[in-house]
Amino acid sequence: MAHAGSHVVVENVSYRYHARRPAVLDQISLTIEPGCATAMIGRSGCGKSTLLHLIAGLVKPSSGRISIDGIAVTKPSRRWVMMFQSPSLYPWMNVTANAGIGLKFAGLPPSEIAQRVGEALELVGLAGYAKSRVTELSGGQQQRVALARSLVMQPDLLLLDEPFAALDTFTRTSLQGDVRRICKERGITLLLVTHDIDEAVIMADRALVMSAAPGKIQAMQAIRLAGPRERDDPAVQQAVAALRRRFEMIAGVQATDDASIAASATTDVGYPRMLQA
Amino acid sequence: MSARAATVDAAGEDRRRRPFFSSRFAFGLLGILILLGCWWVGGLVLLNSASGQAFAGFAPGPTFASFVKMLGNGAILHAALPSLGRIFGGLLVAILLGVPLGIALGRLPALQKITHVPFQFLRMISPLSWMPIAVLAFPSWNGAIVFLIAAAAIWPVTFATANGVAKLDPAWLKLARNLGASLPHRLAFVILPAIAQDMFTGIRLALGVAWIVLVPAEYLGVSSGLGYAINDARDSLDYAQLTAIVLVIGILGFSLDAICLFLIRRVSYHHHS
Repeated sequence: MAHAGSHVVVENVSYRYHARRPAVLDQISLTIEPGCATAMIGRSGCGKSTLLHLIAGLVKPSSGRISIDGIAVTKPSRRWVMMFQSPSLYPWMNVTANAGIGLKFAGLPPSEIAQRVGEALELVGLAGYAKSRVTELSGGQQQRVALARSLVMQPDLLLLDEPFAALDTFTRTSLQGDVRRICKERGITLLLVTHDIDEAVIMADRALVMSAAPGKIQAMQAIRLAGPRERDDPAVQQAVAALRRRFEMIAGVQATDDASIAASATTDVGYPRMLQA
Repeated sequence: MSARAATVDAAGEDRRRRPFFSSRFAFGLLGILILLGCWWVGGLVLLNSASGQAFAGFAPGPTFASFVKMLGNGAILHAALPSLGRIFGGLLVAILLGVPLGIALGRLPALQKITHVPFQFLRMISPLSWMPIAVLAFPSWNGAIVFLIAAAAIWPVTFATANGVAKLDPAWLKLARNLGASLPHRLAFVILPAIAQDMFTGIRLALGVAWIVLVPAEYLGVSSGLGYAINDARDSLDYAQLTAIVLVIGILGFSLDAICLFLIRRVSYHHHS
């Protein structure tokens, strides 16, 4: 099944929760070419997750325009699917039913749902768990079911909202590699949001660095690396170091390792205070 | 690694479950025997007192004899069927009105706030107090009784449903929306399965209330059903028959509750492993 990845165009998009509150996102413009993998990195509160929700059609922008393959985004669609940090599987359904729920919403015949779900579970390495209860799976396995649930839709665009942040390093690394490989094989356009610079380098063809209050895209860095990207590959480490320098310059803080970035990103320290640090 | 842990868990659970199950059965049997013993002693006291002899029919012996006789000649079925019909009619009305109302209350906090006082006020009025109005409003006594049962049953169904909807994980709904689910799809595949356990718990509570309301409601007007059969036995001084009907009420109520409990377990997805 050949996919033509989506072409995403974001034009002058701003977003505020309330008319009298400051903008969360300010005049964002962005183009994503079909089949390209893009990572958006920034601290928590920079609006990167909001931007993803806007592109997915789950939230409407306050101003500006978003179109996917020339069609204005007004609501969610089967052609662009989002994965969240929490897999949010339905505990009253088994693995197969969870993976196929989107196709059921789409009204596909049961035989086609069964076939597509079977293929997707095979692809994410859960073929042996088809009839398992989702509550019996590990966090990584649950996220793999969520990945299968997204892939059965045969989307043109996959949006990832830090879906691996809650997983252990080993599970995260294997999922990062798998998702990039699957998207590349199928030509799916990939847009992911993360605060993990390693993740951006391992998964994306380019990284966008965002600043907060209001959220703006401050820099774009291409990541041109060949085939399976391993964390301990010197070329990967070089790219991580380069992206980290860029990130620190924009965020204005000395982040020495992932842990401090992750910590500062999750403890919700305001951007202005970081500048003084 | 998790597969192995699951096997160990399952084996451990098996070892624990076996004695627990048999002891539960033994305790249940003991409870029934104690109840029968009290009843039997009460019967003996009646039999041996000067003023109580006329009521000796209340004792277990005559009651069971009458029970078997009434089971044989179809009197029990004849009394129980109209009552069961009214219960199901009333519950059906309560579910058809209460579940949508509960879902609306759970999804719309403003509606919940507006209706809080009126609903709590109405809930505390004994359904039987509506009896005179019900009799005026409905052409048949049967309709009036079904209304009273529905009036008793609607509150537990509504509140339990609303409670289930209110604690629904918002991520489940966002996810369904993200996968392009329409509103009917979200209702059928997400909301209803997610709240099924709360809904059936509400129906179980409603059934308990309805079953209690049923008998006094049938004391009035109608000439069929378990309540009528009790009154009829009292008027003909057949106390063994009266107690046999009480026994039927207890057994049927217990069975209906057991069915509800079974349904609750069936739809429950909270499995403690």
